[in-house]
Amino acid sequence: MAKIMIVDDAAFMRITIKNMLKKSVHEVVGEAENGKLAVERYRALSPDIVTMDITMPEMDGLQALREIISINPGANVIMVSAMGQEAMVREAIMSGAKGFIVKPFKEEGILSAIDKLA
Amino acid sequence: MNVDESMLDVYIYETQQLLESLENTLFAGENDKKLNTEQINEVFRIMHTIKGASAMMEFEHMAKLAHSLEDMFALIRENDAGSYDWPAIFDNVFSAISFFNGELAKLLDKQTMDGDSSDLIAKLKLLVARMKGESAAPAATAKKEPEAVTAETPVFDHKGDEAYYKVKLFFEENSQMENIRAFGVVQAVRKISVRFAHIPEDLNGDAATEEIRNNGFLVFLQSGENPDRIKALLETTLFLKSCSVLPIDGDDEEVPAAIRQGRDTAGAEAAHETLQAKADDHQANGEGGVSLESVAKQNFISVNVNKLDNLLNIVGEIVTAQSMVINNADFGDRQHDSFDSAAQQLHSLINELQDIVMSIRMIPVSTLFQKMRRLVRDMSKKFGKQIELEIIGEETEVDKNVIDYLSDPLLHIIRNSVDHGIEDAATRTSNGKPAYGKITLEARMTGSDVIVTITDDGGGLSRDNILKKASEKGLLTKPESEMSDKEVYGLIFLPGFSTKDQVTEFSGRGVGMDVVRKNIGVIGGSVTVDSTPGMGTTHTIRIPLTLTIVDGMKFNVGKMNFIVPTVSVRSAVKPDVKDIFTDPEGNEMIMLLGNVYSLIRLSRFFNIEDAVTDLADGMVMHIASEEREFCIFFDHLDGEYQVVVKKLPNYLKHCSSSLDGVSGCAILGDGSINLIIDVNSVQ
Repeated sequence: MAKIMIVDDAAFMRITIKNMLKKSVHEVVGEAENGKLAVERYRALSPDIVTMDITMPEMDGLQALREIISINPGANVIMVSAMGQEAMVREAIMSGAKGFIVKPFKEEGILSAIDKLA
Repeated sequence: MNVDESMLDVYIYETQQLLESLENTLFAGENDKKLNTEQINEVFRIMHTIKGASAMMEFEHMAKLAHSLEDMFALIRENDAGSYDWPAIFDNVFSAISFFNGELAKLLDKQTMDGDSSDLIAKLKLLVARMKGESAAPAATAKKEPEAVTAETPVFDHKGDEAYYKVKLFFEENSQMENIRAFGVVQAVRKISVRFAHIPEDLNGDAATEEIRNNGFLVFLQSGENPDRIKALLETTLFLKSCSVLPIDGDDEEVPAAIRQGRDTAGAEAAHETLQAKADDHQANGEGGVSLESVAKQNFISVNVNKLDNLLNIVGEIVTAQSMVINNADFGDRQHDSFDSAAQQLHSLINELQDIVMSIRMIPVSTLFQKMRRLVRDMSKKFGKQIELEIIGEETEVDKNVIDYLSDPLLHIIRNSVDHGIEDAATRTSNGKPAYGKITLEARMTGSDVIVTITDDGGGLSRDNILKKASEKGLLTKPESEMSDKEVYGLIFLPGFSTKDQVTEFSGRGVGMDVVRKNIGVIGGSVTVDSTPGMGTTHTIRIPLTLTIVDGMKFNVGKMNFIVPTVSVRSAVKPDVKDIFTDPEGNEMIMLLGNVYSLIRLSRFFNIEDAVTDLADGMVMHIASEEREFCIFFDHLDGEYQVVVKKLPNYLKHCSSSLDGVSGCAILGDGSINLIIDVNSVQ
């Protein structure tokens, strides 16, 4: 079982991911709606795995990823991206993201990614 | 994806919110004739979010359209100082908003979302193509790829006797962006290889994705690591379907010449700092967390309106039950002081509860008013008129239900103002008015009502035209010369009245002002119109603050119980029979305090047979509504009650075509059913 934190500015996406994880053994321990909160909550909650949206207000997912990696170099961060964000995903990978998932994705998709890191 | 209802709600709610703030951003930008950097970023972000959510919900047309817009704004974002065809951009985004809203409305109504966004997308493509043509010159259009760095030194000592391996990877189907996944593999391989090369060599673009999908991603590497460790490392890659690591001879024909010569083809690719080193630097920053409490704090929750409706209903029932208890016949006439004081306390608590429940349901009219901004914008473009919409008091709060019922009437009245009211610029200037027409939309609060006025500075209503039309349609009930201007203007609210024959996209779709009056009537409000020829027209909508719990006077006619809202009641008296007379047409009139009013016998209006018929035995109530004053004749006055207004059950609407004069019903503490009089339709 892994503790998961979901970072996305859209409540819809957060709920969707949460619902997908409900049937799994994993537990969603926190959510954040922007990068800044994500970093704060990462410190407070130390989740095992973070799903990180890229485009967000306040602080985007790339910056949040970098800050989380600086807190914990081994952090498991999965970027939640979409077609058209290739360049940003590259940067994320170089900054230490463990991988990425492309919207729209299905339950099996996100579960297989999380299971692999858990 | 299997969608459950609650997720659908969130999707709709969030998308609507996003569209609303998008629209506001556009309005702000349209004033400046362009969007600034911050606004461009916001539009981009909104489109990105809508795209993602819609794609998850498998609403393809929504997702595609949002994607096109996202692309367009990505382009603009890269060079936000460029000169763009902003009017066209605004128009396209506004059309897109309409499309999105239209689809969401269908979703809400549980209809199929059959909208086709291809046309809009085609238009956007054209616009983007033009943009690319125009902004080809600035260097900023180039994609910002990571800076190229020359070959890096391996992280470990190169002994020169490391073995060669051939690695073949396949990613799972539908994992998408396989080229970037391969890029991730390259980053991992880099850390363990002396030198390496991969096929396809170029990982940019769709061609690479296609090749990796079909033939897999091939890496040749020279490494001191043993093959099992290499395999284990690569197998941590997400969405990996298969991975094989085969030792090969370094001189094998298959091995790309590049690494046989000791040159790293990936050297031209992006390099990065070793993560470990970077992380070590920052390890000290790891602690110093934020407490959980500060994390969890949230001041707002969103609640389904249905729950609020239920809450309000229950409070209504409590009000009724309260009076059932307090006025219970079992108490008889005995004194019961302690009960009375307890009852008093209960009463004031229930009042407080009621106030709070009502206030929870209050929302500002700003959303609704902003919707009108859009309407005025679109219509003035369409009709080639220049119109400014001024909004006053948008922070005024009304019940959620009021917003729902107010929306259509406002749309209708404003359509009329733009279409029929405000003249074109040429006519206006020749009449000595500013070329710009102006519509003012104002909301304000009085003690018990919210008043919404819509004022335009157009040509005003034409008394003659209205009278002509009304007499053609047989809507006149008295001689034209005897009608006051206000009465004449009031004719436009009659069913079947419409002054413009021409049907346009925006107004005159077969619904007239009678629908406006009906809608407003449902929420217990009234609407009037006033006009000065040549100067403009003012519509005034008056809505009671609380809808469902009203103070009413209870009376009966025969065995029927009625309630009339106390706000409409001026007085109730035992009539002096000599003050009542009959006019030449047989209508009964009554003289009250020197004024003459028509007297309506409710027993006749509602066909009640067991009612008092002798004027000396009954009572008269003087009723005043927004547009008229009259008197009703009834049997017996019962007193004042606070009642919970219920809609008439639907089966009543099916069995009788005429429910005129009744706006709802209420059940009182004694179990009696009371009909609530609609003062505007009793005649």
